[in-house]
Amino acid sequence: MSGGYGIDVIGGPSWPSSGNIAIGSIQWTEAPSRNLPSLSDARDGDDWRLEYDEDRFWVSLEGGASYMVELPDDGAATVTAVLEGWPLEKASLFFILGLLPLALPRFGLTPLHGAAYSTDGVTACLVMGDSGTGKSTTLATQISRGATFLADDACAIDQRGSLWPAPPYWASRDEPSGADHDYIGKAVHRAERTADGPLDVGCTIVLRPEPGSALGVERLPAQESLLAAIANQRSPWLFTSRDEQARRLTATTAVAGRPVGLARYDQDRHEPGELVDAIDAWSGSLSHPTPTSSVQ
Amino acid sequence: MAVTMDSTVVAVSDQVSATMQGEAIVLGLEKGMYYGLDEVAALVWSLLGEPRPVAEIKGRIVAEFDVDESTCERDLVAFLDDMDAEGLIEVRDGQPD
Repeated sequence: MSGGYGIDVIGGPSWPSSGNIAIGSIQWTEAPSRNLPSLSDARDGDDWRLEYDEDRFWVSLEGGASYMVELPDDGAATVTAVLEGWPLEKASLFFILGLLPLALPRFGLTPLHGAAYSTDGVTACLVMGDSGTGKSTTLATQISRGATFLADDACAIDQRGSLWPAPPYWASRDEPSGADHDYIGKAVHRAERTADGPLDVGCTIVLRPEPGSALGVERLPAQESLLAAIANQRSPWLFTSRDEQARRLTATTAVAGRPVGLARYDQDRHEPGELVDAIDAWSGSLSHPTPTSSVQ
Repeated sequence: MAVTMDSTVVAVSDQVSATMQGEAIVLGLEKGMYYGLDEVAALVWSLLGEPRPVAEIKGRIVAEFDVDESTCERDLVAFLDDMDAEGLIEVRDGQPD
């Protein structure tokens, strides 16, 4: 099994390689029964439980698989999966798309909540916004126009502000066909075009639908750009040491140092294609001065 | 401890900050809160990496911005009091060691 985000997952079932240059790896093993330790912090969802401390976390899904992920500082990371009747491919896909992003900080990568694509093969465009604002729809529209898929849901950003491509599979409510697997209710299939390595983030779009709003994209000032990026850090409560926080702020600041545009539109009046036209017009008008930022 | 013009102030270690185009964001790790700083506040923050007399900070602001000394003094002390209340700086009596 090959992972994504520059992280190889070794020893699991065979999945198509993302082609990424690996910056770390996780060893996958399977165990016949659950043996999950009690860790210092916990989160609960409708049908899952997550417990974590600074070196490891585990996730247990009601009626499904469990995963114990250990992340020592020496980089010898492991995941132990208890399938509990889940097909191996489903369990490994859930791990890659749902759990692997949680481990990104331990590989020097900051997970941001959003989608990403590339129209030029050189730079990435991030799409952020609250749930239901149209991130996946915007991504699907760009893909249908020939853009390269980079990420959906989790974007892995390194210290230079470059985006490491997601696994070659993606999940989208808006993709009508071609589903190979089901992942928490979403159709999942392999993207036709993926990137081989990290791409610099050229710009970020923050989607903000508002009833009655005119369609348009405006550039956010520096501090609002940074706050928008910070607000989209994924799982900021996990791994909270000062060094980790500083790494995340460095990566987030690097992204926010590139142009960030606020896209306003009316979901009832403006079609996805019109929104994408406005985004492309704005991003095409940008110049890219050297960002001036630092983290202490 | 209330901030006066005779105080010395320094940023606590339990924070990380980022500057971008002259403005700054500070993350206080104890509360997990982000604080946005404008250009003047970002200048003050940039001076707090080591113990710094408040009077010296006032001098830098007056030199770089169009503000009279009494207004600067009032606003600076209020700002540093707020930073102290949020646990982002340490306030000491007198000059640095």
